[in-house]
Amino acid sequence: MKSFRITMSVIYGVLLLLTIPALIKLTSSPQEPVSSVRNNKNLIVTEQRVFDDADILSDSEEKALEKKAKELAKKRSLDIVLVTVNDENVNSPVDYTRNFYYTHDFGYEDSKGTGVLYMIDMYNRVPVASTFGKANQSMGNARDSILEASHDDLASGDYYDAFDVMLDETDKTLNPASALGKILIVLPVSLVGAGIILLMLLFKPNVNTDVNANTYLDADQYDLVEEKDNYINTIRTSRTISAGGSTGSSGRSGGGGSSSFGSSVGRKF
Amino acid sequence: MVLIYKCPTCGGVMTYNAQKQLLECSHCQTSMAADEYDISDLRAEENKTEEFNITSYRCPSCGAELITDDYTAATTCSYCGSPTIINDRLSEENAPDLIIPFKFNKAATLEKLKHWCRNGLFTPSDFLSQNSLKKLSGIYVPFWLYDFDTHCSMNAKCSKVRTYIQGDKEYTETSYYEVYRETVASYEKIPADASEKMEDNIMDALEPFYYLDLEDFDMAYFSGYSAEKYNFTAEDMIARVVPRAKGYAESITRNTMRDYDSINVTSADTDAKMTKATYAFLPVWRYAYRYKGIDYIFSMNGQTGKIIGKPPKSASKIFIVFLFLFLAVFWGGSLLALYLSWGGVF
Repeated sequence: MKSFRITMSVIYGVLLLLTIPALIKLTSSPQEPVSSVRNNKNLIVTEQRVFDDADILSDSEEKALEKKAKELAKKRSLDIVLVTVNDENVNSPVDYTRNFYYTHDFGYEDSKGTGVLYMIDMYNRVPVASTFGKANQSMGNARDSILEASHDDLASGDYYDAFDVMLDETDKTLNPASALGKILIVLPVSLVGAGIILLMLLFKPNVNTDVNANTYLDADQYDLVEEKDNYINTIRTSRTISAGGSTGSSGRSGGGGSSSFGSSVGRKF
Repeated sequence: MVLIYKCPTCGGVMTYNAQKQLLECSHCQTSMAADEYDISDLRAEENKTEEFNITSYRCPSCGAELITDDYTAATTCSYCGSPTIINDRLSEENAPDLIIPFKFNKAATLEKLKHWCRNGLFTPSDFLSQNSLKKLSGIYVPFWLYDFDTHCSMNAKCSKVRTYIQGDKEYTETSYYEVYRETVASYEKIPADASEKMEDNIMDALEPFYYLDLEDFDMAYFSGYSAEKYNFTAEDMIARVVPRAKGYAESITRNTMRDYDSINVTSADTDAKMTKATYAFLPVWRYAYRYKGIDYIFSMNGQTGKIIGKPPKSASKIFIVFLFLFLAVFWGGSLLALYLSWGGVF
C-alpha cells in the first residue's frame, strides 16, 4: 500500500510537470510576425513569399496566396514559401527547393530557420514539400499527406486550389489542438495497459525468495571435485550495419550542420 | 503425566515470555531462564485415563478434561486457562533434540498481523479490526531437520558470445563448449514439518528459520503455548526433502558455469544421502479470523515474524487501484502522443 502510494505520487508528480509545457503550448497566443522576431533583420532579402516562376497563377491569385501564407506564418510561427517552376534544368526538385530557401534567407526566427516550402514543378510535374528547422520535426510526418491532399487539384490544373489546400493542411497539422484527437487512440491502449498492471499486482506469484541453494549449504563442506571445459567449435555470423538515416518512400530527408531539412516529392500529376 | 510449571516463589503459574526470553510468573513477576527452573517445583499428576483406546488427560489445576488428540504435547486448559504439558508425548524414545523459542508474544504478533494487512494493497480497511470470531494460537510445530551429503555430476553444452565491429560489419562469434562439473556438498538442517495439520507449502513458505537461536530442548519453552509431537517419522518425511537437497546440489553445480553466456544442461546425475535427522520444535503463530462469513488463516514465523496468508481482496480497492493506474497510463500516453505529433516540447 505504502509503496504503491509513493510510486503513484512520484508518477503523478512527473506527469504534472510534463503537462505544464503542453498546456502552455495549447493556450499560447499567436507569435510575433516574421520581420519582428528575426534575430538579424538585415538578412531579410525579401518580403515576397509567392514566386510564380512558371507563371501558372493569376496576379489576384498570387496576391491572395501571399496574404494567406503570411497570415498563416504568423499564426503558426513558421515561414511559408510557395514556388512554381518550369525549368528543364531542374534535375532534382528537392535540391532546387533547398537552394531556393537558403539563397533567399527564409526562416521564421532567423535566416535559414524554421519554415516550409511548397513547390509545383511543372517540368517534372510533381509537387514538392520541404521542411526546414523546427518545422522538419513538427511537419515532417505530414508532408506526404499534405501533397496527396492537393493531388486532385494539381491533376485538374487548379494550381491556386492546390496551394490553397496545402496551406489549409499546414494550418491543420500545426494546430496544437489537432493533436488532441490522437488521445482517442491512447484510450483503449491505456485501458488494456492498466488492466495488465492490475492483474500483475493481483496475482503476484508467491515464491519464497528468502531461501535458496545456499541457505542450508555448509560452505566448509562444498567442493568442486572436477571440472572440464572442452572447446568444440565457433560459429561466426555477421551483418552489415546500415549507416545513418533511412531513405523515405517518396523523397528523401537528411540533416546537415546546424539547420535540419527534409523533403517529400508527391505523385506525378 | 500432565505438568504445570509452578512458580517456586508464590505457587502461581509460570509461562514462557517470548519478549523477555524468560520463564515468568503471571502473579509475582518472578522470572528465570528456562534452564534455571528446578524441575522439582513442577506440579506433576498422572491424570491419565484410557477408555476404548482413547487416552484422555485431566487438568491438574481444575480437574477438567483437557482437549487433546494423540499428538498433543502442550495445551492450555480450556476451563481454567492453565498451561499444561503432557510429557508422555515427549518420552525418551522420541525425545526432541532442539527448539527455537518464540520471539513474539501474542500482542506483538497481533500488531504485526494488523500492520501487514494494512500494507496489503487490496485488503479491506476493516479487515482484522472488525469484531469477529478469531483465534490466535502459538504452536510449536514438530520438524525434522535433515542433514544431507550430496554428490552431483553434470554435463552441459555451454556457449560464449562475443560481438565486435569491423568496418561496416558486426560480427557475432559463438563458441561452444562441452562442460563437465562434479561437486560434493553438505547441507545442514533442511526443515520439513512433521505435523499433519500444518500445510506443507505454508510451512515451507515460512522459512527460513535462523538456527543461531536453536536451543537444547526444554519443556519450559512449551509453557503457555500449544505443541504436538511429530505425526510422521523422519523416514516418512524424507521423500519430501530429497528432491530439495538434489535441487540445491544441482543449482550450486550449475552456478559453477556462470562464466558462460548460455548453459544447456544435458545430463545431471545427483545423489543425496541423508546423514542425520534432528527432531526439533519451531515456533509458528496461527491466526484464524472470520470476515464476512469466510475464515482466513494467517501463519507467522514465531522467530522472524514473516507472515504468510491470503487476506481478502476488496472490490472497491481493486477499482480504485485500477483507476489510478489507468489515469497514469492514459495521461502519460496522451502527453507522449501530443509531444510526438508536435515534434518536441516547443
